[in-house]
Amino acid sequence: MRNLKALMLSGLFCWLTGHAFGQLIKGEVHDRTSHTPLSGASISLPSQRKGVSTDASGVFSIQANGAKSFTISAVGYKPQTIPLTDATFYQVELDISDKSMDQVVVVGYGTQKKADLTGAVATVDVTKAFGSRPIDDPTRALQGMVPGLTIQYGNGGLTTGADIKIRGIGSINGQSRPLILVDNVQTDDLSVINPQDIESISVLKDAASASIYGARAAFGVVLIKTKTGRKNQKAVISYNNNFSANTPTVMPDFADPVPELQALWDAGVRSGNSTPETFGMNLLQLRAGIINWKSKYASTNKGKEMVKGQDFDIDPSTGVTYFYKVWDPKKEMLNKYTFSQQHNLSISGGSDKISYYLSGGYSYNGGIFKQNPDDVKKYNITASVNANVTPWLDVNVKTLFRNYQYDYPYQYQDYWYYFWRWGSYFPYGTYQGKYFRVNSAYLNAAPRNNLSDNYSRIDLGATVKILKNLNFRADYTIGRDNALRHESGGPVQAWDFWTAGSLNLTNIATASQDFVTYTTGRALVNTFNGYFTWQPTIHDNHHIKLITGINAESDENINFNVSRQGTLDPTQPELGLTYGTITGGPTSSGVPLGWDPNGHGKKAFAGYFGRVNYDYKDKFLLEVNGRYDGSSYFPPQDRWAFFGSASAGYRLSEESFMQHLKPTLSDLKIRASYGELGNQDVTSNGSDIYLRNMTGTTAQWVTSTGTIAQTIGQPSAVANSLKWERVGTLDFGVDARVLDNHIGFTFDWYQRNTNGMIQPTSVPATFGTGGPNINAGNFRTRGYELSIDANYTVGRDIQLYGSIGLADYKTIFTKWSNPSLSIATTQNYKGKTYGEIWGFETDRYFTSSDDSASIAQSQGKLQSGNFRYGPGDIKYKDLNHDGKVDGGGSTLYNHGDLKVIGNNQPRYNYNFRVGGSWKGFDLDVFFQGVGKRDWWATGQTALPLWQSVDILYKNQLDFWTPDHPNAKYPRPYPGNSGGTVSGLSSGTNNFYPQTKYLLNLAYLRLKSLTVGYVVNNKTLTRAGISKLRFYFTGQNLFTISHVGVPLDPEITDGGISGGITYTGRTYPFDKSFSAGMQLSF
Amino acid sequence: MKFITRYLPLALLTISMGTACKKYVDVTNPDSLTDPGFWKNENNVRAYSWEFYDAFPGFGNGSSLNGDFYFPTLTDDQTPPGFTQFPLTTAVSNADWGTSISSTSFVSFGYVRKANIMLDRIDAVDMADEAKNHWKGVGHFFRALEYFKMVQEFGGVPWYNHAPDVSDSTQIYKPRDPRQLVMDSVLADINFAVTNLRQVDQVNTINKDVALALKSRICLYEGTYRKYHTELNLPNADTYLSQAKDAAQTLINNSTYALDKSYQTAYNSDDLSKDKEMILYKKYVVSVLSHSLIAYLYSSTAMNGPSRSAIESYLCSDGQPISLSPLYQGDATLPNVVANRDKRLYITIDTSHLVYTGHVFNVFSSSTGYRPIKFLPDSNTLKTIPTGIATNVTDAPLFWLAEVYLNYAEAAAELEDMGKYSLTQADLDNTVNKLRARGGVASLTLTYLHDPTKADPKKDAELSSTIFEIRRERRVELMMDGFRFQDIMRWKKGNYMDSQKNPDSFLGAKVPANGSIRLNANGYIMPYPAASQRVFVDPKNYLSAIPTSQILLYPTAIQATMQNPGW
Repeated sequence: MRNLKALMLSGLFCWLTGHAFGQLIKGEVHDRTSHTPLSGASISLPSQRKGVSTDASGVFSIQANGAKSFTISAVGYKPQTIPLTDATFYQVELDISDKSMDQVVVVGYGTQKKADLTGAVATVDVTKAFGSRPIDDPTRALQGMVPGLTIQYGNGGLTTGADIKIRGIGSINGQSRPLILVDNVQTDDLSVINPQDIESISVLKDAASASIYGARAAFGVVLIKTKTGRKNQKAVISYNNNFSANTPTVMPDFADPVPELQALWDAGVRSGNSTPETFGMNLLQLRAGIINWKSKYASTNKGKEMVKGQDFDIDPSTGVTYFYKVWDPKKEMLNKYTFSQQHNLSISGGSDKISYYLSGGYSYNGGIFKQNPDDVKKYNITASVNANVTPWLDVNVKTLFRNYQYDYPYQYQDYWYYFWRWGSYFPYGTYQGKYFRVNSAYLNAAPRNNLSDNYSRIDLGATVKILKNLNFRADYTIGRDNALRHESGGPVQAWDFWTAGSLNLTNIATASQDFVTYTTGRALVNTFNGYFTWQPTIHDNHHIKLITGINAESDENINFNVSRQGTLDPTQPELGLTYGTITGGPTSSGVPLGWDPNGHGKKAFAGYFGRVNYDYKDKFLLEVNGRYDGSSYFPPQDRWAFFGSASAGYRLSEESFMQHLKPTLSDLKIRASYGELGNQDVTSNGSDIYLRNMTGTTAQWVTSTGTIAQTIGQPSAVANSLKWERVGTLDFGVDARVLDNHIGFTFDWYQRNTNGMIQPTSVPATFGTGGPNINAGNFRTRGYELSIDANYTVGRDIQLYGSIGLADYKTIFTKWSNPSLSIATTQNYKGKTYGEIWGFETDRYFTSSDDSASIAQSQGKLQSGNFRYGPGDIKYKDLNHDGKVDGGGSTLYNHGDLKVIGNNQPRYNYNFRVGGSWKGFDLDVFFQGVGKRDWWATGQTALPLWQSVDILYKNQLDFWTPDHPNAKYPRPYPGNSGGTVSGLSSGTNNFYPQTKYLLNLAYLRLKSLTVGYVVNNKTLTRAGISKLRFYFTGQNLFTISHVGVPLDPEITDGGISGGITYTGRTYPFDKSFSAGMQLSF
Repeated sequence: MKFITRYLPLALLTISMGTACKKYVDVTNPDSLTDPGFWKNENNVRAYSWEFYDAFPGFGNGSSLNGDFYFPTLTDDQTPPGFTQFPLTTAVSNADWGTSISSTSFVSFGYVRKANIMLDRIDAVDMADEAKNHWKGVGHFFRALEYFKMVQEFGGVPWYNHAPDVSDSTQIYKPRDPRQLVMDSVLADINFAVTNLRQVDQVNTINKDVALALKSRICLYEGTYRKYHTELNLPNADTYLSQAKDAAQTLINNSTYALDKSYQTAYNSDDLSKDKEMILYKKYVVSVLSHSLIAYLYSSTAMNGPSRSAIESYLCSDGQPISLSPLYQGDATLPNVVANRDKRLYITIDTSHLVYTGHVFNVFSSSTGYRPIKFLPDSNTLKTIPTGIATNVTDAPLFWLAEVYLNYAEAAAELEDMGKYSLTQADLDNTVNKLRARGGVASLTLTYLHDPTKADPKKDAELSSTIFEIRRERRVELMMDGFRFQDIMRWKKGNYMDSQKNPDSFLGAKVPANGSIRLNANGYIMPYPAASQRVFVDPKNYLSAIPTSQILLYPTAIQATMQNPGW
């Protein structure tokens, strides 16, 4: 970029002095890897302003005018300077510059050559992240791409949001999210962007790089730049598409009910229930009926309609309905494959004064339920125009519009929760054409609900060239997000077998489910950036670059809903067609991340920022950043603060004594940075903890007007001393390129101290209200990131590349107020490693040779309910050898037999990629994984009979019996949630948090595999087609993991009603097979 | 020049935006109210103040069982179906030593902080000095009320004039202030309220008269407490008593107020707004605010019946106690019990039926056989039986003339006892005799009081006849009104509630055996088995325990000073 600028400047100079014509040279420019013609590459002559661009076939022609050489540059490629000879036709092949030190990297309010970077900045290979992948949300595509940037999804649902962190947890408060900027505008939800419109992504990881953005950037910055047209480029029309079929990676299997029901019965009896039942169905009677059904009717009764007396029956003595037919619930309820597709069309080009970029995208993703599946449709439109209005003024406008439609069945109940809750004998079929009171009935009747979200953004910008080396850039962006959710329910006619003694065809929905609700939310963002860039020429050896400017952002959000019960016609669910009372108010549903759910929020940020870059001979590099930052989230008396950072680099390879190593060690730089930032993200809902909030309530008093007295509570307490949290990051890095630039190597080590983390303090009640927040504790994160990339070209036809990324961190509390040193999950203490899991060490199963008195002596305290330890139950290790197993006082110095059994933070995040091309073929293989991660998962899918005698999955039939002593699971017992050891994660009896059933969420996953072929055909070229590529991509094609249960290693979620308690009762993760084409004219 | 025309506007724009930036970030969520910005005008101050009224339980809120009336049964007046032993609360927890202000928390430090913040902010509010003084009066009134309740329960507590910042550890970990300091501060607060409160802010809100009523209540309490709890060596009992008397006198002289014709009007009216006896009452309105007192008295659950001790305290119509009066007909039957008695007894209990286990009338049953009816609406005008929980809307008296009369009489009698005043016949005629007249009982005269032959043989030997009879008048008039427990505490008469020392407090009516009701040897209902005895421990049970979890929050040196004696 600097070279480009220099070229432009010198070109300007030449134009001013005027020049004559000369000889005409022609040529063709190709990508060295794919041999495809490069359109839009700029050809410039050192002595001449006027450059030209290659056309769609990569062809150019230009008047040489006696120049000695010409330079060819294209975005994403290394520029090349070709000496002019007598020849008039030049075949030029450009190398991709992504990993080279010449690469231009987008940093805060500017760009920098990679060689000059002194902070920890990583870039994303946009083509590899987004090209050829069936992904409509950029966040998804970024997963695993950048060491240190972790993106996690708790489940595989269509609308599931991501947990995004740079370098792990930054504070126990708030989200620890990085600041995400799209074209310099904060954009928390990246799904508003079409991945195809992204030109570049930089990830600013250390404080030095991020501090120019102030307090919102305490945990790093993700900078995204969208595409614009390029000047002097012929119109390029591109179309690409993708069709994808997706199928769940792994799910538990339902068990054969015959052994399952026997085990459930036995477990129920063991818990003291003489006749265990489900919905009144005596489990043994049910089992007998199922055996009978299997022998008599299994081969004939294959339809959906169930036959009374065969597939189900009503017990004449009790009136209870028994269901005998065995289904495959997954087949009945879930599609084997879901489908998605994407289409993108873009047109870009430019004359020498005006350039433009227009694009439209459409994507569709279908949900997995067979009945009434949800789906997401997304429409993106982007348009941008850049114009060179006068020699000193460039202006640009960019608009972005995204319409998002989520259609889904009304949630009468949490369908996933109940899908996983009951066995395969549950009635998925119909009787007299009507469903029974299970998921099928609700899903079948559920009206379509819809969330529609329109996001639009207009950006007006201008660049003023004040002097030769002084620019002023200003842009103003208006962003608007309007969401409208329309929900309705209605009656559901189904056979109700829940009430004993009858099977009624009745409305199984509740009165409150017969309703219409409209929920709306409106978010506004106005952003202004204005800054000067000054790059004075002082001396050949001393280079200085200065940036200074201001940034201001104001946000507003309004949310409310209106609801009315009693639909006149459930198929026309409108407020005017309901007869109940209208209710409504502020809503917490669908409120964007970081906003107060009370209805109306406002925030504003501003800052004066500046940066100085200095280098001496491109060898000693120094950068100083500062920002005087203001945030409405800071305490009112303290809303402005200065944050500074500095970084320095030393390019050893530029020293003369290193020159002889150049062929092997092309580049070597060491760098260091330190900066401190305030963290303003300290609440999850945007409420301002620095303000003494007063909330409205009602007093138990009737006023003179006969109404209840509406009153206002006393203000919350805010400590005078309360300050924002401070986050200081120290980073040391090494960048090297070896073997003639073929292999690049970047390593960063960092230490991030988060000081003064905010926590409520404990004060005596005489204070008169809850203890206010104080800056209570500190923690420290230490970690490293390593990335290696390699490029190698074999001859003309073979281009190979590969990359490796590895990142790890660990966070330790260095100060915390917890005088008793309690180890409860809700507590922290000095020295605690963030994410640690306390539990028992599993010894073995008790056997009949264990004496029952000594069992009671050692583990009696751990028993709950009717449970008594005996043969086939878990024996925990008596780690402190005191003859009994317990949690002691649940403190660090008295934790009985507990120990740290694992840590739930993902450690050793790694990825590697290999790929290459040969002739028209290309191949890209990308693996991603987590080296170590433990998870204490709860709920039936993770631990058998967690809740009650509901279900055992196929894998859970592997339980202890005297004849099967080495089973995976202990002797069944229902009800294992609430333990007797205080402060521990949930689990009791055989399922206290322990080593044996701790899940291992480490994995290695073939995240994507792409095979492409570029059709290189003269006929196509003649038809104006410059590029045609077909490709196949597989996502998550295979995974190596040893989770311990049939769940995906990325799952940590339990769905809507399960929360974290019922791990896995939610949308599964998918693998997908997709194919598509890319076409350019 | 061109440079200037081109770039000057740009420079000016940048500079102006730069200077505007400072204020640019001064925004808050529009949907939140914050301190101190909230303190704009008088309407906001008034809105803030309503929450203080949560401190008045009245007949309770919604379905709650914690009204002032009928529900506080730990006295010698009622013997509820469930046996209640001292202590009142355990040492581990006590919600009253807490911070919440709510429909179930009537005593807490939350009110104190709320009042202190209000007092600190009022000067900055845009309103006239008169208004500022009134609202400061409101703050002082409720701070006094809450500290008064806390001292009643806990003794000395930390006194806060201002809401401290959390960094002020001397304030946060302030040890308990001496009872004397706290009560003297309470007196100063209530005196401020008396001086500065408006005569009327809005209808039925606290005003000068309410403050005077509270003052007479507080001063009588503290004066007698200091007089009788001699172990505390507290001075100025007489000062408090004369202030109690003076405050009551001012209200008695105020012609705005007059005694109702019926004793029951205060307790069973749908609307007390026109009631001249009321100084402050708690209004209940259908679908707005309700209570459940009537519903609980109509339910099939056994009621908290009045004890034999309570029933026997009522005089006969000749003004003599049952032990002396020739009119008394014994207690063999209910008609005998109620014959020729104080009419207030007829209003307090059902005179036509005894109801008890094995002898249920309608669905009603009472632990002692005596069925409380004082709070029931007039059955002649009753359209439906209000059995619904949280549907009752009779208004509840909070401060009313009867109590003021009793405060006056008692303060005067105590002052006389201390030699600081001579009780006159006019004093009695202006106060207790008006109540007696309403109850159809002959007047109390000084002559009668001074006649040793007229002294009740059951009289507490430690007391003069004057004090004993005035206390009896208070007990009868305020039967089940929530005063008795604190009266016993201030008189230092914990033994009244001790089942050994006052066995009648653990007995009910005399009824024939029916096989299912437990009776003692003399045929009186025994609500509890003989083994369930309530022992009053002196001095421990005069105060509640401070929660131990709270004490542990203090520095070790202070911890030792935090707990009450005996705990």
